[in-house]
Amino acid sequence: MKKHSLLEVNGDDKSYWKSVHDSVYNAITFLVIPSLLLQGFQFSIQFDIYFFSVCLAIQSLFMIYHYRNKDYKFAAHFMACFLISIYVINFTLKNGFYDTSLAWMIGILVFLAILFRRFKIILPYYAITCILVILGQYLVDQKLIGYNYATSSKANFFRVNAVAIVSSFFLYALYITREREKAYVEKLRANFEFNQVLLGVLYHDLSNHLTSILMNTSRLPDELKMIETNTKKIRDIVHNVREFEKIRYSRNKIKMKDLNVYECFELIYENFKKTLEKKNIKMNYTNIDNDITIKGNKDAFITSICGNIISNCITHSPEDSKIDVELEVEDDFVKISIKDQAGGIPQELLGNLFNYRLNKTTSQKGSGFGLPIAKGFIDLFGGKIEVDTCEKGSVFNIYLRRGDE
Amino acid sequence: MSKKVLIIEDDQDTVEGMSFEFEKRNFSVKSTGKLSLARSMLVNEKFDLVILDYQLSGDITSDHLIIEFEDSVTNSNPNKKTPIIVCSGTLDPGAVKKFSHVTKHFLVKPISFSDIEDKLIRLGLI
Repeated sequence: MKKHSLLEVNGDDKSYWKSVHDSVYNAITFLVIPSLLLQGFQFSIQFDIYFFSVCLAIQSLFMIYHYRNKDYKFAAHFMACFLISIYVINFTLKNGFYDTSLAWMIGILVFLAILFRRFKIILPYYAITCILVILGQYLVDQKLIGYNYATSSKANFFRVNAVAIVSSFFLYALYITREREKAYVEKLRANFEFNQVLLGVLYHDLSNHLTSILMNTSRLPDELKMIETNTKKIRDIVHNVREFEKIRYSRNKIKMKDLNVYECFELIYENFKKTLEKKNIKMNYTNIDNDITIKGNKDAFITSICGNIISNCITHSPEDSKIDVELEVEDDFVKISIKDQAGGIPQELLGNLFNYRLNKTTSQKGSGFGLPIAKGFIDLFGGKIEVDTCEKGSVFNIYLRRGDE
Repeated sequence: MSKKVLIIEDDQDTVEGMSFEFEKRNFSVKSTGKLSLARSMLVNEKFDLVILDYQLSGDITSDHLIIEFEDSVTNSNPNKKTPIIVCSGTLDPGAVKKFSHVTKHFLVKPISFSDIEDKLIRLGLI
């Protein structure tokens, strides 16, 4: 793995040094040189302040320009140079190396490191500022450079140094935490990608072999029909695991469209026609208006939501029974009620009906994944599902957002 | 006259099972596990249905084969309006969207013949 030096940040070295060059050049042109010139000419203090304000404003504009263009690397350089420039101004106009505002500057650099998340860029500037402060104070203290600052005090010297030391540790801790966090995220990503590959291989290989078996099961003698039944159960598990994967994949990505409920139920009926006929179950529709639309994804609504719930109703319903589907518009939501005559859901299962980890219907007739998948997609659509159950049967009330059309 | 189906699939067990089911429903079946061979068969002979395993690859890819038959360049092709049922072992939602008019039928493996039968009913082939 390539090791990065302190100065190698995201992107190539050339762009890094270009941003350093531009920022330093800018700081020198607009602040450092003017400040030294002003020192030479000895203008009034007010003039100096106005002058520096204009220079700082120009610097800020450069920084904002880069920040708005999402060129955070440049913006971070400009900001750091901006602060060093303030340091120079401070040195020129106020209390010099003993001024307490220097402590703020050091603190602000730590804040910048967090804001831009460019620790490697901020660190050299931070080091330069600290060295300048400490060295400057030492030189003044030793009278090696002479400035007559009436308001300066020895106590400020200690305050500034204390802030410099504390914030150094803070910045270092932040830097280490960030590096560890990056390494951890990288490891998690690698694990996730590896698991995705494994899952993909499993889906692919398992699916192909299961297809080979399923395509030939009709030729099995009756006494071996359990092979077909169990293979179909494995197939359902593979499909359900995929559905869960789809819910996770779709989070924040799913495209919501206006769906015509009437048209969707026509397709749902087509899908279940044969199964319904086999058990002589009637499907009755009430209030399914041609104009009612909901917000959602067609495939997910037909297969994963209604498909799973209706399939569940059919599986548990006795022969010659009925399933009622009713529609009701309630403010911004459309309530879809699916009522069966399957004899109700036992109380002990009711609480965990939509939790695939705790749904214990698996051993009976289904895989136990159907209702959790339906709820997963309903949640994704910004809706909700409720169940009412009694001895006769159950009602699944699905609330989905009303479409715009 | 029986309807003709071309099964493009390299798994012999699947082909055997599928052929048995199609023949039971009075279809005449041809099969191949090679896409290049499938291409020449599709150029020379008219089929009523094509079943294609999406993961197959060789000189050309499944994408190439489908696009060729949906493309206007091959307007003279006898199978330009033949429906294709694409079967895939991996879930690829993008694959469904990129094909336009002919390939509107996509089955994610594992599948049984009843899944294909549902499609046949919708296509009016049985």
